[in-house]
Amino acid sequence: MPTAARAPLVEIRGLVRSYRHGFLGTPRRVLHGLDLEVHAGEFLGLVGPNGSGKSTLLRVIAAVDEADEGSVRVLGHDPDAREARDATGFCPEDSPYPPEVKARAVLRMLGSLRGMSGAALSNRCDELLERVGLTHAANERLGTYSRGMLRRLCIAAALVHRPKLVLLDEPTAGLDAPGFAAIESLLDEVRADGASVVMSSHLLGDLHQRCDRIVALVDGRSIAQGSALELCAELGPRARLELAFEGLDAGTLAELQRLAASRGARFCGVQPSQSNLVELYRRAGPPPAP
Amino acid sequence: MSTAVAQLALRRIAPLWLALCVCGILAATALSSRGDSNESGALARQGLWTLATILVSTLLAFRAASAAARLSRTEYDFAGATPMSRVGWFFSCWSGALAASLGAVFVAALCGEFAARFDTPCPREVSLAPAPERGVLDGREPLRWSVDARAGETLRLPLTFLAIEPTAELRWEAVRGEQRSQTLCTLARPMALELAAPEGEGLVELTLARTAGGAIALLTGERMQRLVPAGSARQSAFVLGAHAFLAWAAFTALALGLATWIGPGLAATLALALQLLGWLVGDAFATDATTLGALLRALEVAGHGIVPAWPPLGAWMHAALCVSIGSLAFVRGFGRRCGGVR
Repeated sequence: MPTAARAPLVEIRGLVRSYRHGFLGTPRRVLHGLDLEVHAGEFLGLVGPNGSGKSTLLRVIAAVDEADEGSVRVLGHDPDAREARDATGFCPEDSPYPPEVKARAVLRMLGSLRGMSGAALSNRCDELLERVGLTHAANERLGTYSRGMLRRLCIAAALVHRPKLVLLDEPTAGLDAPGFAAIESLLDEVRADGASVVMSSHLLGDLHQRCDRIVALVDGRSIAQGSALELCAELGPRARLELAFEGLDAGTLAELQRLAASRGARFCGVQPSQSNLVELYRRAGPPPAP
Repeated sequence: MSTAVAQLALRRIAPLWLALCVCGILAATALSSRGDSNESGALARQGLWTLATILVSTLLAFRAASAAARLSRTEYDFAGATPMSRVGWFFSCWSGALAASLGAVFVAALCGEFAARFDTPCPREVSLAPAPERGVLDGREPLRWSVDARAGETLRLPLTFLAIEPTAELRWEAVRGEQRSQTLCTLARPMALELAAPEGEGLVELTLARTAGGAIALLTGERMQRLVPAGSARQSAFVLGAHAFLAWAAFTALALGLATWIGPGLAATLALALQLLGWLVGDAFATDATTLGALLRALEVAGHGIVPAWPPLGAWMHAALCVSIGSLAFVRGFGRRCGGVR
């Protein structure tokens, strides 16, 4: 998707963020003068190892944390401004919702805090609960939810007010195959609505299929950005790609291996796609009602 | 402010099991201490409200602090990412605490009136008037002072005595223009003298003298009460409820704010310490301008079978000060441990 001509939805310049740790509160810098732009309608991936600053960056954009230095603008406003907060949906890494509350109540509470009410809010809650596969557990307390169910709820909670900017921190962590498929379908819809998405993951495979651009962070610095293939290309001959096929028989697979070997590439192995599990579950029929 | 957040705070501060426990304890106390006369009924009312204050205010403050601590630490990603300001979060949580306080006041009032049992006409305190400090009546010089009291009011003066001899005969006289009233009594134990204010306008000149007996009468240093007929002793429930609500509201506001900086147990303890300090300072300056001081005094008055006065302006101002301090601490500390310092 071409994005260069559009005004940035999020504009970050020289972002520095430190946390204090230890008894003496020694500051530890997490983000080192980061520059970043997210354009309207763009799907941006943040990839990096643990502690690289992905979550911190998302929390600063979501106005949960504040920048120590540099500037962050969301829709031209400070992230703490009402206009920016209303336009942002944030799915943090761990569920922050009260465990004694039910899923529907959480969505209703978040919707009401964003000014939604009445039938519109009820319908939106029902729709999202169905989309993330939590209708059967909508009236159960969150304390009884599994990690995967909490992830689904967090993603639904980030989308309840149809935000223009969706921030997802490791949304697929702990998700099972049907959950993954449900989230993918929701994200397709978010994109179709023209919203921008910033999604972090430490797995490139989570991001490459849907991201317009991926930013690789290491130690709070952006070390590379571009499409998944562009990032791989930077690695040169050490780049390793995974291809996905449907309806491939053993003979064709052997032929592909020979072709790759003749071009100097090394065949590393065959691995079934995660989507096979979704298909397998689908064949078993719908889950029994609780 | 958000109703949904206030409901969440209410559920956390006063969950059903806790509400049932408190109701059970207060109901059991009311049953076991039921008064069988006007005097014992007043003491039963006083006892039940005292227990309710100790039990409920401590629980409310601790649970409010726990709710604030959870929001500020483990749930800050949820709270901080919403468009509601920190002041909005404070007042939403505090509204939940106020709703819990209102419920507790209602239960305490019901149980208190059940324990008091008797509904007889009784006086109501309008305000306090000055009295000579530490006055001594040893038969040499009578005490003289003046107060502003309306016709129809009764003046009530607490006295104690030094028993060199078993009793002292006292005469207390009030004069306003040509009008005059007086009361005679035998002082043989700490007691309160009552005297009707004479008809007319202007200041009432009061004279207290020992006319016979060898005991030395002493004024306690407490101020004199101005009383009017109340109609029903049950008015005490409303007045005590207002005092308790004000004190608990101030207490929970402080606990909410402090819990964003320190642990909930410590926050509730520190909030209690601040309340006690305020009361002691107020007591030292002989003023009821603190919520706790006004509540304790109202409890004491109710124990004498008198309907206490409504909370004074100073108590409301003290409550407002506590809420301001609590909200400021909350706003500055909310999410501080999650990096959300602003």
